[in-house]
Amino acid sequence: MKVSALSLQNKISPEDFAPLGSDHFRDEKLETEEIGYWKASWRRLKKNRIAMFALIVILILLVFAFIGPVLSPYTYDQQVRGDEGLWPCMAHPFGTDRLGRDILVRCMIGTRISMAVGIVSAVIVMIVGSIYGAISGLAGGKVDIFMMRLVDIIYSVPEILLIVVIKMIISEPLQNLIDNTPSLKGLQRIGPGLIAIFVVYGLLYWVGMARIVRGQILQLKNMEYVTAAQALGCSKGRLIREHLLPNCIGQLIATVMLQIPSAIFTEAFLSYLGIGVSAPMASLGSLASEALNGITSYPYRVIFPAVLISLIILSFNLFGDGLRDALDPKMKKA
Amino acid sequence: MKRWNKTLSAALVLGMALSSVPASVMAEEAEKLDITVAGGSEDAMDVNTATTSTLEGLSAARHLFEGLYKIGESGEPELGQAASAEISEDGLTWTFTLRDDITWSDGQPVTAQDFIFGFDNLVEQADDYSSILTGVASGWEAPDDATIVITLANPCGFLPSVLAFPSTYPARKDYVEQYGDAYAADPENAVYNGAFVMTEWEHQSEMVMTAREDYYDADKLEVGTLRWMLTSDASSALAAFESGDIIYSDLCPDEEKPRMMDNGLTFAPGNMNYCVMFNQGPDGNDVLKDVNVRKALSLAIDRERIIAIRDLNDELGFTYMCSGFTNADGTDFTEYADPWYDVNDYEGNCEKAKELLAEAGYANGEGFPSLRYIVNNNDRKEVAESIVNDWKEVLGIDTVTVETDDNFFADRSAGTYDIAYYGWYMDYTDLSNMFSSINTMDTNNAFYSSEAYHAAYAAATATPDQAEQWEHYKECEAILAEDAPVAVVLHAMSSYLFDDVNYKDLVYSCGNYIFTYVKAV
Amino acid sequence: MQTIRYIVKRIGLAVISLFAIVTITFFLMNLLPGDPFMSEKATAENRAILVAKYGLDQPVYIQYGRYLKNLLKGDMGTSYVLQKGRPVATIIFESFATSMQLGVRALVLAIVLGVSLGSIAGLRKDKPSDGVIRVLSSIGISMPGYVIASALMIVLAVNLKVLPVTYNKPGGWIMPMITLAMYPTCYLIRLTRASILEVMNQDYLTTERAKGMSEFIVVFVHALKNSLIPVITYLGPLTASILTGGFVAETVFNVPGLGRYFVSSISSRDYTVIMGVTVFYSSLIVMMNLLCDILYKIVDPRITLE
Repeated sequence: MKVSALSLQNKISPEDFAPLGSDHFRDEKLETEEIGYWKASWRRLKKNRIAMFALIVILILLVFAFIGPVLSPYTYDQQVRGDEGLWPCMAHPFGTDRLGRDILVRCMIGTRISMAVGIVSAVIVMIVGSIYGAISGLAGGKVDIFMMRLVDIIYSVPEILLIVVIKMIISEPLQNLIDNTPSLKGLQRIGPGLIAIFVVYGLLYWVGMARIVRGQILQLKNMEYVTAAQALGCSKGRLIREHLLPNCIGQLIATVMLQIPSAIFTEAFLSYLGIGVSAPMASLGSLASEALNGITSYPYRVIFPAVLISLIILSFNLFGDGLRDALDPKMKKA
Repeated sequence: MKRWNKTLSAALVLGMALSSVPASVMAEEAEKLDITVAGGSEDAMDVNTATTSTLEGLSAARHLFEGLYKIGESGEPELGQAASAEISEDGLTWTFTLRDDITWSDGQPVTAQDFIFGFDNLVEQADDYSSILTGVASGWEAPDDATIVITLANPCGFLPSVLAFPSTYPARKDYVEQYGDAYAADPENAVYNGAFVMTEWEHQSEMVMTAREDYYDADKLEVGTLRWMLTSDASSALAAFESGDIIYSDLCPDEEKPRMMDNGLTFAPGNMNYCVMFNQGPDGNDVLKDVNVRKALSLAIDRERIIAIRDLNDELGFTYMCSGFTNADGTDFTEYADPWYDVNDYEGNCEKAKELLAEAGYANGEGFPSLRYIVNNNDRKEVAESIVNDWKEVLGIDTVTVETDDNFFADRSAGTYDIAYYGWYMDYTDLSNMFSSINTMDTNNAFYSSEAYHAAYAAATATPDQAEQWEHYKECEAILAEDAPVAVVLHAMSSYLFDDVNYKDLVYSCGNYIFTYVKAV
Repeated sequence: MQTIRYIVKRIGLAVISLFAIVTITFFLMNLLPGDPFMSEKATAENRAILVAKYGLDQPVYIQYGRYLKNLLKGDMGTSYVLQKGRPVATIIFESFATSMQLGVRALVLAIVLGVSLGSIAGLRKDKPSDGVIRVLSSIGISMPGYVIASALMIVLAVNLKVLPVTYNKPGGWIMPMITLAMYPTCYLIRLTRASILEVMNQDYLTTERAKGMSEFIVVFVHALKNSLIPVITYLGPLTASILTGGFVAETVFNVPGLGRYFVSSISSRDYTVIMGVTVFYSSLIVMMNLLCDILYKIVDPRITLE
């Protein structure tokens, strides 16, 4: 076939249709190893110095809260006779309260309670909120409208009223349950007040999470791969489990991380109102707010727990920020 | 003209200040005192005499209204709106003649009918003190505008105290009927017959009272403006006192009191008892229905330590009645009655407590159920924690938790608790008031009832003879010691902050505070 | 036109929500043990008289019906305990006015300081000023309100005696304002900074710079405006919560505001006040959310309502 020199047509020959050799793509292969989502996130996180520092502080606080009390010569409810109302000294680095209890060990236990409040509440919020949000987002239509309206309503009922009422309602059955179930005996020390806070969290604070998850789901729902999965006959449950949740897990975890400080804050505020852990158990919030009574005479009793609260909240905030950036590469580093 | 006067006087004052007149002359020329006090929280500030029941509300009402008697400068009841009181020979009929120079703040004279209406209205309103008068009086009438006759069922030596109590003060029928529940809830909703008139009430913040010029004793009083800061936050009240914003506060956190002892903290007889109450009602834990358990819990309390920790001049509690009430021989009632336990042998008491608890089936505290101990503020929580620690160390009971309850009194009176703080502040200084508190189910939230106690109390109140009364009250104490519905921990002093460097003559009586007679030093 | 239809629909939904909130609150409140007339010295007999006098002995659903009927007539009843006999509407009006006076100041402070410091930090990323602002805001955001309030009071009022403790004295609003504004200010700083950083990297700004627009216009007209979107979303709930008052600031500094009043109404079982404040507060939140959504649309036309 004669080909004009001016022709713009592709010059194809039968050789172009021959099979390629097996090593043809070798040169195009990426030199870097293939890494998964989690590993990549971890690498991004490691580069964030502030977040890593916060993580170290959190780890130190965990050791302080969970191993510290074991090493202390005192227990949190031990009233040492003769050591009442001491300022910080060698025997009691944080001093003692008027009943002769060592404030250092009480702060350790308080940190444990406050962190437990934060983490347990955050987990409850994540579970309830993401399930609710996912269902609402997936179902769409009238169900979605109804479920979101419910969220708005819960959002608008004054929370203090709800907390007080829920505490009143559940304390007594809870107490009976604890009394009659030997395996729950440990909960007695914490008291129904704190458990009520968990319940309140489970019932109330998931709404923010539900909104976020719903938003994510709505966004993801229209993605091609979801349509593809649906076209292939994927069931709704499996769609949520295998396609949607993994894709928004990053943002979920980051939001949960930021939920922890807010839960600790709420606990501290409730302690100020007198709702919270039952004595002699203590949380950082209850330690600080009870010590406010003697703030001028014994300032150290407020300062230590207050500084610890700030430290916990600060480190969780900073770590949460870092985690959000690391887990969600689409978002710009803040 | 008025303005000219003001300018003139301002110029005069300025001129005097410049020419450095001696301070004493200045004081005479000065305006009347303008003082601010922390006098309670908003919800406690009910000044309707028929319904108010808190110390703060009662104290405020004492400034705005006045009864047949009033608390005088000495702190004792003396004649107020009445010019004279005649007592019949059998002591059952009291005839009062009103002063002729008393008026309401709108200028109308105070009449005997106003008092009769006040008495009737008190009963009608069915609030906390509705039976304070019917408890002693069987009837009242006004034969004319200036005479009031009160008839009693039994002779009553403390009637002046009752009639000096704000609940028995007069009220103007037209205002009460016009405003109903809102009577005295705003300055213009009432007229006043006391030394002050309410001129402003910024709710939740401040109530302002101004001295009345037409009050019969107005010339003798120095306070011109009395401002009540309304707060329930003890730390804020203390801060306001320390910063000089207020000159008086009955609120002060216990933990700061030792520090304030040289800075204005003043102690007064407490006339109260500070107890731990054991709920024997249907909603309380059954374990507390066992008298041995209650006694064991009571004996194990290390009261000396609590008193040392509080550091507030408390007296040890070993009788229900507090000290300060003596008979003709000068013996104090607390000495006269038998102590509930051996006060000098705490170790021995602990041993006894252990035995009692073992007898009840909880040797070393094993198997003891969880109990909820409620208190109403952080200061009381501290004491409760000390007590719970004693129970743990002495008796091995580690299942009691302490909670501050936001609706403490409601929960306690409804009986939805196991153990609670309990303290009775006497309303007037007569033994009967203290012993009545545990006699009726309404104030005795332990749901404790004893026929023997009712009988002994009835016998004591029926006789006018003090020796006989005391014998019956001693019997009451013995019954309480045996039944232990409460564990008396201590008898606290009342204490308040008062700027005694610049002011004097504050009257403090049974928890009521009266600023009417306050003067600058 | 579409906007109007949307607003009408939203208002309709809001009314339904409010009705649900009133119902839930009413029945929840009646689950609380006790009644408004329980006090240390109240006798059972007297309490029964008072409960009957106010019709609280009737079945809850009848009380509920009566409350709804009165509410529709605009009558929220009178207080049983806290300001006995005074109309709830008056009480809310008075205490909201106070909370609002304080809240507006705190809000202005928070927005001005928060947005400006946040922008400075964002625009001068990684410079010393950014560092200082970030550290301070991180500390401010991590302190419980009552610690801030108490510290302010001890230092400024008791030790230095420069400010009065109570709200009704001249200058008394300064400390509660700071307490109230602390958290939102620090939060806004962080939010604005993050938002600015995100916007500054957007392609359209590069385009504008390429087109030769001055950096000043790029930053102050285009970047800032767009970075305010998340800030505005946060402002809705913030305004509602700040205007209704902070319980801590109001308690510590004795501010006669709504936040403190609501908490004491719950503990004293002042039913009419609990209901009144709930109705008021919920309406405020619902309204704020609506306003926010509309404002959102004005700032960012890409967002479609619905």
